[in-house]
Amino acid sequence: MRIFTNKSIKALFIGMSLFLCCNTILSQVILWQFHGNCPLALFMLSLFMGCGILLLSFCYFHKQHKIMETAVAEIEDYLTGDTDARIECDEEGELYRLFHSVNTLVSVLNAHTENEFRTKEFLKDTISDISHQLKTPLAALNIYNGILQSETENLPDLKEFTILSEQELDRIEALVQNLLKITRLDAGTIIIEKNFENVSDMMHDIEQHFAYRAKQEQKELILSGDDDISLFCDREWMIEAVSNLVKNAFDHTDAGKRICVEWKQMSDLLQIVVEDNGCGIHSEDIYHIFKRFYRSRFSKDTQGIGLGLPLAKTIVELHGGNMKVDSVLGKGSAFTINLSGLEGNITKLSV
Amino acid sequence: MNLLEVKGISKTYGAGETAVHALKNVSFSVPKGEFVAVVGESGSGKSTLLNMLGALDVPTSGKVWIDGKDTFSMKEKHLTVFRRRNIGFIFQAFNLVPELTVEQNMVFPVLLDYQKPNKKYLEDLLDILNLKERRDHLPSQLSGGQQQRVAIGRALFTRPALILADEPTGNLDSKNTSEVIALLKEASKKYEQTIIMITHSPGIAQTADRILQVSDGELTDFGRYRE
Repeated sequence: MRIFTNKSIKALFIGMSLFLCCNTILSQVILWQFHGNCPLALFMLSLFMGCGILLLSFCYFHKQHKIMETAVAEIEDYLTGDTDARIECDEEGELYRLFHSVNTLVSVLNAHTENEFRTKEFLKDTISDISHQLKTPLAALNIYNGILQSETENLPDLKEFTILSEQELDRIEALVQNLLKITRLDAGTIIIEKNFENVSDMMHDIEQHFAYRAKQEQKELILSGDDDISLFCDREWMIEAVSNLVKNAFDHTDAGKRICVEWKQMSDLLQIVVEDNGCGIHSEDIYHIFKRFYRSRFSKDTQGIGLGLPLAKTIVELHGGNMKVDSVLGKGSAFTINLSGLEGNITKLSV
Repeated sequence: MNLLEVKGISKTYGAGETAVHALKNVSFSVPKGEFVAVVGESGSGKSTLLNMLGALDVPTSGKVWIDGKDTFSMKEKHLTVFRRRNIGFIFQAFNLVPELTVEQNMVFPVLLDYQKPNKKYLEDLLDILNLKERRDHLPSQLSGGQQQRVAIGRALFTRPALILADEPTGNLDSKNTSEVIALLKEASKKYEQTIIMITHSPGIAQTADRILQVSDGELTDFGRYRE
């Protein structure tokens, strides 16, 4: 009898019983009145009852259908982002218990999502705090090391170790800076400030930054591309991304090799390619190089930390673009960035 | 969306010179899954506040939203169903049904909703609350502490989204107290149940995620443990 807690079901059954009763009573009355000689009247009566019951059933199912439709619409709302969507469920009956359970599921899901977000925030803050706090002792160590270096001018053995220390200190500093950058990007709380930047300008900035190193290591850094292409992007982060690729190229090429940065417009996309003819990437590594802290065992670059490429990829993806790599071991590598956001195509961008 | 939103709740008994302001413009919000302790001296308005939150009493002014629903503008019929499904009460005076056994008292709200009680959960609860041997006894045959545990079991059995507890460990010894608090905390983490507990004991209040103080009808938020 629990199905009768639902008001609509109760009403339906009561209605149908009423019709049946009426039909029985009236048919008995008619039979008694006309002594069994009234087929038409009886026929009309049963027709009337049949229609009545059909109508009641139709009304009931139509109402249920509407309720279901509304419930499905609410669930769809929730799925498309309205976390406050709930189904009306404050009536008696199994159906509404079901709706209540769905609502509970929804609020529990929401709570879990919020918790996850808070944990992420907390982690990001922690890493940021630690990184910032590392800067102070690092700075001190750098100073002390500098002093030691100058004091040991005449003690070549000791001096050798101060130079090694300096290298390690630089490594820690680079790691801390990269960590900070990556966590900032990760938490999604960094605002990429986009403006129209001249691509050639940005590339020449990078060229300048690596000019000294190119000369020191006797490698060629070539730029190639039009001067008039403008990209809607965050200048600082975009330079950071391409610089990481160029640095990688430098780290994996020997003296005498060539690194080429090329950019061109392909229909409504901007394509930037950083290519080198250095040692290339081993086929075993190629699926892992964009993972954080990944260090290839074939890599000749023993000073790297493994954050440069993942950082570059994150930056490019935050701009709505993508990055891919082609490489042949021993021949060289080419990193390709594809970006939308060229001047004249701005309406297609979702910021 | 926060599970509980309270805005401007005020309750005044009487009028004119003899008016008693039990609650004065209380506002706060509680996210889902938080364990809140409410502390304050006797007569400060804590129980009144709890009654407002559970829609057992109507405020002079102000509103309460539970899971987005404005409880004071709902029709009585809907409010009854809503309360039954979403709120669990642990009263200071237990309020057990004297004619029903311990077990029946605990499953009573579930039966009111025409549901079949979850046997396993019932056994688990009876076990944790140390009521297994007393399951067929009437409330009149139980000690104060045991009656209180039945009241706690009743509130937990429906797994409501919001549990309102008025001094749930007042009559319990220290072992039972720590077990009940541990049970409440686990429920709050595992099933994301929000718990608002009135307590006199600062030690118990410390186990909560957040402490609110009611003093002379006014609310002070002492903040969250994690902040």
